[in-house]
Amino acid sequence: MKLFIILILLSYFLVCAVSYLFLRKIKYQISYHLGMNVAMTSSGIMGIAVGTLLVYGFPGHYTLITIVSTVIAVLIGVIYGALVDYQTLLSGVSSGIMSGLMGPMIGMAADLPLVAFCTILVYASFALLCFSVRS
Amino acid sequence: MEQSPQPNSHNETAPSEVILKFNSEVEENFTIKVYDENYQEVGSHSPQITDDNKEISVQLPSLADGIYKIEYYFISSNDGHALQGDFFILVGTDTDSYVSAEGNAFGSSNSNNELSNMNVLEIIIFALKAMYYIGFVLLIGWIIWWQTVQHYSNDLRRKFVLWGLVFQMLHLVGLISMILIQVDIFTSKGLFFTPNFPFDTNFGSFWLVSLVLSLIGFLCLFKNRWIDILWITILVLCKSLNGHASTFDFTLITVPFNSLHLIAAAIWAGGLAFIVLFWKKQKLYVMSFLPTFSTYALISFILMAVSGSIVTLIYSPDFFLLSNDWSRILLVKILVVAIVILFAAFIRKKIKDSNQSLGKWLVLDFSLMIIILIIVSILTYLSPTP
Repeated sequence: MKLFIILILLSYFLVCAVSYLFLRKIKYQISYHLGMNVAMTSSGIMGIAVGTLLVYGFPGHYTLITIVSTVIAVLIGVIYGALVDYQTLLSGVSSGIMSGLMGPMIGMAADLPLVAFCTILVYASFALLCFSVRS
Repeated sequence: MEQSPQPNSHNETAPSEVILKFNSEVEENFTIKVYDENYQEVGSHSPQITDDNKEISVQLPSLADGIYKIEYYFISSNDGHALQGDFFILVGTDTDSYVSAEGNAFGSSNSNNELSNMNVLEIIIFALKAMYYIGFVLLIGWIIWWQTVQHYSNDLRRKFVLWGLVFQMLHLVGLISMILIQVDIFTSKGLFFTPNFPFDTNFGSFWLVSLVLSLIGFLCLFKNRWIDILWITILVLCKSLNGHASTFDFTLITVPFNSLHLIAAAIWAGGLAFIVLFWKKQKLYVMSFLPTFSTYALISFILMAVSGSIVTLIYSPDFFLLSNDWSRILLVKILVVAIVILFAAFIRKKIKDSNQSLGKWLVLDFSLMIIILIIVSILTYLSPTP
């Protein structure tokens, strides 16, 4: 089952990377307001989902996973926020810190349906972000 | 499946074990529980499975006179389908209480997956399977039609690949969620997977290959024709080998026909999706695409009708008796397909008359296609055997 967990984790990063590449191509269409939402949503959902998934799959490493998920979420907030400007980047950082700390807490009580729900949320959130620039 | 002691049998001497024999292999993870009239579990030994994985048994303690309910839950090795059921036995000489106890103390017995036995999790899995099937069929059709669309304008090609990414995500998230919920259902029934899972089960291995393929698809699809063909072939084979097609005796017939059925469905669904999604903004290209699509859709329907009929007759020769949910749902699917054929004939006539007002009919056709895929997702969960 651990292999499935790792593959699911990879799929999160893949969808995150694909969305980033798409948004980078059209970054001049992203306003300050949308940019803040992009940075906060991406870092927020990745922090929650990565933390939940990792603690579910590897429950014996709570502290390490909390640090890792927080660092990942902050980095994603920085990368997505940097598409617009420094202040947007800060929004991504703050959202990343919060979600990176919260994700593992959810993971402690998570079961497989909750992991599935997190997965759907990750995909739906990034799809919404990409769609929002177009509409 | 054969049971010993026989279901609803009267055993004057208490049986020493319960044995279940199967036609095909089952997974080593299974449960058999024996309950007395007060629905208290009778302490039994650890269940055993034979080396060929076709017979499971559990040793019983000395049973007092009374009625006992035997519940089982196991997974088919071929396709990962779970089968659960229960039956009653009477031990001793008092036969009068048997009839009333069978109905009152435990409720009626059942076997296999039937719609009436579904819980919330299993309803969720229908929704996730529907998402998976819609993503699966649309993605494969999309890749096949890419061979035609790649000769169109740059703008259309760019948008086509973008929609391809959306279908890849739909397929991937459907697949992941379906696996997670299915494993959760297994574990909620008392099954525990070994550390080697998914490599120690057929269905787990096919899930894994599909998942890896799905991830690789983001990097390699829509770039090279042969890679696309190889990707589609492996994915369709995985799907066929991990479904009903692999559980029946004529696997060499059912798997190719099932694959053919899937690809034909994908050609129809992918082409229809392209027409509906690009109808408003790329109408000239879509109008030029319509005659080609119409011809291939007709061929696809003929192939689907032939392959579907053959596979149905192998799965369930008594399909016409409508003796289980699978047969009844399949009948609904056939009715919807008949409506689609009527619509398709109407649309073909309009195309020949060069009629421009096709939009609403195409959207209706697309909606029916989605309904058919939802029905298919339910069908794959049910067992064709009564």
